[in-house]
Amino acid sequence: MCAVVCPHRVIKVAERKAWIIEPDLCMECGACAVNCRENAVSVKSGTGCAYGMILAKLKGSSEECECECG
Amino acid sequence: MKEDKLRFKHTDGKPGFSGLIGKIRMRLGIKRSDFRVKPGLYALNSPGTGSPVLVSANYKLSFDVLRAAAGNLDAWILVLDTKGINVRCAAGKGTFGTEELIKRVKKSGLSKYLSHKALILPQLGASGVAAHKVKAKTGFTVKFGPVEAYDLRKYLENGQKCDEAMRTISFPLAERLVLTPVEMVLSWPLLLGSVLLSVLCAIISGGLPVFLSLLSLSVLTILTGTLLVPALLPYIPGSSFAWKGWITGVISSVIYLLLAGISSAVFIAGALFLFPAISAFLALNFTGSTTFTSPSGVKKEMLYAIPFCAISAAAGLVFLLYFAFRGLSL
Repeated sequence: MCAVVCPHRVIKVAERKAWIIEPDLCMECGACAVNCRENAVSVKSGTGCAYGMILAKLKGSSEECECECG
Repeated sequence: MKEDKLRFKHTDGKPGFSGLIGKIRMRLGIKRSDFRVKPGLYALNSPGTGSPVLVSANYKLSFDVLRAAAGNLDAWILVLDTKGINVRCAAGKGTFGTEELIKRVKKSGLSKYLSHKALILPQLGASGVAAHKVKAKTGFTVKFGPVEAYDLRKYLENGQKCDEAMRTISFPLAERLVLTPVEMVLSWPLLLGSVLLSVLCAIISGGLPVFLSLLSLSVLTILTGTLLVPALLPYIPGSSFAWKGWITGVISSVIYLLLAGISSAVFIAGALFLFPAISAFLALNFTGSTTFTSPSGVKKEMLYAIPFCAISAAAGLVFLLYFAFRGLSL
């Protein structure tokens, strides 16, 4: 499932193992971790949004996406 | 026997003129948090018990793009309450998520309208929705369809199968450009600040040329950071957005200074410290509009980019104000 859901095709499954073949393309969305039944993958996920992080820092919260950006 | 009240709304594949106005409004950043549809079940055209179920966020643009892509197909659309936010961001926040999907499936009574038990979700919903958990709690199989709604018909005609391209995010020029109006609109505080600086320096030094030069550089810098950098994104060397904004800002400022024939070393120093820093900051803020920047990467970038921009801009201001106070000429 991890290979299916990755939007940057970072993972390939072969010989009953999941291989991370393009680590630099990973955007840390967490789709693979969320959809792994076996909990074999973990990701510190979030959105790569500088504006959201700045707002969160200013508001003093730990959430990384504080805007209503639609 | 009491008849069940109709628990779905009707919709079609034509967002129409109001949909277009809404889309333009969103792309210009006008009242972006106020463009939503009510969560729940919708019948797109005339679905029957065998029609597919498409799951959407309640951001109206997501909903409109989906139904326009489906066009005249008959389908069910299950809209989740993502608080008016698009699929990708809502999935990251958890609102386009496992729990909300389970809740919406149950609340809508969806299963009684269907002879199958499959839900089609956009690929980018996968970071919020655990397919196996939804199946366990509702009996529905979650299928992840293409990233883009425009591939939906092809997906459905292919027997609900995606090819590699349909599962891969792309960010071509047209998609980058459509995001630039919002970036320009959101840069108004920086533009205002720059204009005020131009006015201030002009008043102090009593010179119109100073005002015009600073104003030109301000507008040029804003356009560089909000339009040029996104447009040329993959062609500008370096992976850091702040760096791309900075180097492009330096180039555009240098070009202006040469064309304007400015020879004051103080002014040049001020301009090159201030304006590329503004452009770098604007480019950094474009990270949130992309679908390939990672939070760890952006965090690392911000750690050095923000202090650098702040210090550089401050230095630039010092030089420019000194230039104005001393009444130097360009």
